[in-house]
Amino acid sequence: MVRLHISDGFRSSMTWLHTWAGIGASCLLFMIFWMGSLSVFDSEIDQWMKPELRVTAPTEEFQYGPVFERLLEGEAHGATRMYISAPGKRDPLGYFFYRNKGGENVRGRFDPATLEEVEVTDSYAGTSFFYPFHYSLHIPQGIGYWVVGFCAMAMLVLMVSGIFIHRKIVADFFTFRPQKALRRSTLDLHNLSSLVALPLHILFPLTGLMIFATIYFPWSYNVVYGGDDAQLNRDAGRAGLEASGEPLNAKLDIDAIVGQALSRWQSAEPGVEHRADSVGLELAGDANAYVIVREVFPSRAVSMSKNVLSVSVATGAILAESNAGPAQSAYAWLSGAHYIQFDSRALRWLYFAGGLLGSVMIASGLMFWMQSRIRKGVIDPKSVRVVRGLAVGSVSGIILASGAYLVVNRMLPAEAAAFGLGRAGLEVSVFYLVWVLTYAHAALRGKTSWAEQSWAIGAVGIAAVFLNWVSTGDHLVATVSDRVWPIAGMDIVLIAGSAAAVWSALKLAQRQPTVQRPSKEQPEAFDQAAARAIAATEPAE
Amino acid sequence: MPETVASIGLFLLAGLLAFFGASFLALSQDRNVHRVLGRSVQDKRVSMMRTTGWLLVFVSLIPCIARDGGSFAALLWPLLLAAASIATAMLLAYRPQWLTPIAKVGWKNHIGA
Repeated sequence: MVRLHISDGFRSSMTWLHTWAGIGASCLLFMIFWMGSLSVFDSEIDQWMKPELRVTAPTEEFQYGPVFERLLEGEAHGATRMYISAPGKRDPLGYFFYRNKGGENVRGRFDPATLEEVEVTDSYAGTSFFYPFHYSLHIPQGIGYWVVGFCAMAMLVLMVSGIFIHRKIVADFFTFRPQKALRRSTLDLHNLSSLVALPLHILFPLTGLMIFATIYFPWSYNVVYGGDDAQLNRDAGRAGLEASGEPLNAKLDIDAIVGQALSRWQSAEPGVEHRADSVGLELAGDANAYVIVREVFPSRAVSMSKNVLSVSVATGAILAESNAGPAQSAYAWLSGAHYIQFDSRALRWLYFAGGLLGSVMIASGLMFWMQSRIRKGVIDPKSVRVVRGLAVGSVSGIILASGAYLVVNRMLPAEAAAFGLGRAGLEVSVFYLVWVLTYAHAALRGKTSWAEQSWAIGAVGIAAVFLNWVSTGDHLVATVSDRVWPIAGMDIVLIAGSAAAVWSALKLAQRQPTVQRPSKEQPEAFDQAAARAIAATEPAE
Repeated sequence: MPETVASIGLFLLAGLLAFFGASFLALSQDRNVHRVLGRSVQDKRVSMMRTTGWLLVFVSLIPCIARDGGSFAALLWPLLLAAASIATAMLLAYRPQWLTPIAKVGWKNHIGA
């Protein structure tokens, strides 16, 4: 049996590292994990929040030609650029975008069956609120990517240092004792949730950092391309031509070009079924007009596809083609594992559960630290209020705010606007307002705020299910019997979440409050206090 | 992956193998046997229980690969093992008596009076 001889000095320095990385990052990490878990079902959340999307995905092969024709001959006449994205299994309406004659960008959704535009509820919903929250915390100017990146690095440090601190990883692997004192069972839960999915808790921050690698390390591109963006674009399959000024004198046949791309990808990679996920027309009406065909979403592969092809409209020649080498293929698998755009219901639910497990790991670690410090009396009483306020607001607060976001979505009328905000902006404002209030509530109410916010989460979840029924008529019995799984799944998760919140509230109410033993000694050296706190709660046997 | 009877069946098979693997591994530890059966096992040799546990854990990889191929199995298998370990830990914590059949089967010749 392998036994790691870890000296007490090394273990205590790892404890110091784990504690401080945790203090710095755990609130933000919980938010990132919570929003990441929700983002697994971002398209389903979209369908719940924007009921116009609750249509069955089309089964026939989607044809791009008719959509381009209809737009170019109709409202988009004279447009210079146009992009169409095909409807998918989880996102049943197509996307269109064009830049019209006047230089304005127009975008919207269309029904693939009728090719008519569909007016969709004005909401950022899952894909435009929860998902960007996950990777940028909605901090603008690219700063958010760096903040999240530092948190991901902190998480890797936390995972490795945590392994070194844990004394009996094998013996305690399955240990969870909820009947014992709160600090003991919190630490048990923290250890359990960390260990059972250890490789995954390392994979996700790592692949998250890899996805943004070129933001953190732009030198890789600079060294290879030396600032030659045109060549970079061509190697990525984007032709990047300039307008010639001459008119186009060839017929635009989108479907033929798409067919050309598909057969090219099919012969390069025969075993897999290829699909054009988006088609763009650049420099429309000009002699240099070209079409970019992109495959993005895999159906039967973990890796995201890198297939991009630019074809000239006038000559049919291939202007640029993406070429994935071995490094990019490895990167595609790793980033695909993080993006989870593949078609696997089993994995999607397991990812959701895994994300929640990671959230439990972070929250339980934060709570254990807080309870230990408060018990030891090493935080002065005024600061306890602040620390607890931050912890409660960052954990139950953001969950409650997410529920409130769903509730307000079902309550606002279509044309709602106030304070210079549209309907989507109002929904987001309610999210942030409720969230800020949870911090204030936690700071004011102290220890009871956990249970109170858990009750509120229970209420909000049920309210959301009820409001969905009232506002759309798609109640759970109907959605299950009609097999509308995205909406049924949402309502089921909301009900299960409410039940879990109510159960937590009851358990929290039952708990004896931990006895406060104010420390009369001088505040100890930090690592000694930490080591003692952990040693004092080691399992007895 | 389209939901066919085969894909659901393979998923359940992988899940069950992972769960029994995790429970056997848990029940190869004295403290967990004590929690479930209320007494220690006579024979402290843990190799049989532990070996079977590891075997079941690794065999659960096979239906994962059969279902979706190696690329997906690399994600599905660790996730199923995590779920199985959580389930085992929760049973040990809240309903240890439900694991009695597994403990009895695994330790049948070694349980003392």
